[in-house]
Amino acid sequence: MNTREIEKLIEKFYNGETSSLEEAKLSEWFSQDHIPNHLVSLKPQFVFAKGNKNQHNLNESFDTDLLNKIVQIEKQNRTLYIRRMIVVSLSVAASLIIMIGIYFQFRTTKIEDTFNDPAMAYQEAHKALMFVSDQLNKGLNPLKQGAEHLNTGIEKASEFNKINIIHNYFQME
Amino acid sequence: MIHLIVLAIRMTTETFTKQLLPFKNKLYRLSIRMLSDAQEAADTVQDVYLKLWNMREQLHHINNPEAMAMTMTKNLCLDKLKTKKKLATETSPVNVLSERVNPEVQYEFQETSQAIEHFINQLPEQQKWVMHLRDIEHYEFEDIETITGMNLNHIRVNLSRARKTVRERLIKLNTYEYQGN
Repeated sequence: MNTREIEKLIEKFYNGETSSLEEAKLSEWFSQDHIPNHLVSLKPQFVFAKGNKNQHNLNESFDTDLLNKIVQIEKQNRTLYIRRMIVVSLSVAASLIIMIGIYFQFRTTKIEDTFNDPAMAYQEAHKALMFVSDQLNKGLNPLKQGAEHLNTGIEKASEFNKINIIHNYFQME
Repeated sequence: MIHLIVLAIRMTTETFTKQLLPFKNKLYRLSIRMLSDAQEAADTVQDVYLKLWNMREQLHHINNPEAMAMTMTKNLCLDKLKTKKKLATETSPVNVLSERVNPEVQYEFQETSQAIEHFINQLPEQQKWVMHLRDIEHYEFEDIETITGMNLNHIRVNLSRARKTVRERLIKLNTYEYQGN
């Protein structure tokens, strides 16, 4: 590549218009020993990148530090997850136990057979039912009296019907 | 039990490191460029990798993880700079000022590469990023667009200005040295 071509490329470079390939060509050209005097002062700008890149690198320990940190974070995450799972399963178990408890509570109060002999059981049931009907009759008695009073009241009230009859009579007239 | 867990993690970390660790130094150099503090830069890179680890399941949907990691690094550095600036203005505004007052002071450089490093660091932020990404890391313009969020034209303008500034200061340095000798 001759000097004129290089000068054109340099101008393009300073206008920010060179491609990556052209920039690689420039740095290669400036890496050689025989550079014309008027371009020598520009040399550092085209060759400094390599040295700069090697100057600033991360420590050897960066990778292991990072991996240790990741392992630590994952362990924390897992213990948190396990703890959460324990809490969830415990609450599910507790609610199940409560529901089962409620179920059995109602079952035992409803069905409780205390008699072995069916005849005895029949007698007892008969007794109980008689007691109930007795009580029911007792309760009905005041109701009957009340109904009688109501009937006499209604009979008296039906006297008012006579007014209707008289009214009809006058209308016929 | 724990041994099994560690083993399982190691298996996934192996693919993770093979895919993502090769460009760790690019992330590191970008954060050094932005934060100008080696320890803070290393911490930032570790933060970026931990973030990448947390989103490792979505990573295979992304076609250019390197550019994404560079973008994450840039954003994280910007966040850190913001908090730094806040702290600096709250505690000691004088120091920040005095650092900025004398950019034209001629330092004695052992090598010209050191001088260029210094010139780049004194460029305006956007020019600094673009020049770093293009002239040191040799990224394609497409990737620089992704990383910086600037459009192609804007990038070229910034790059041109940065390169010209560095050239001017380089020539000035040479004549100074020449006169000195």
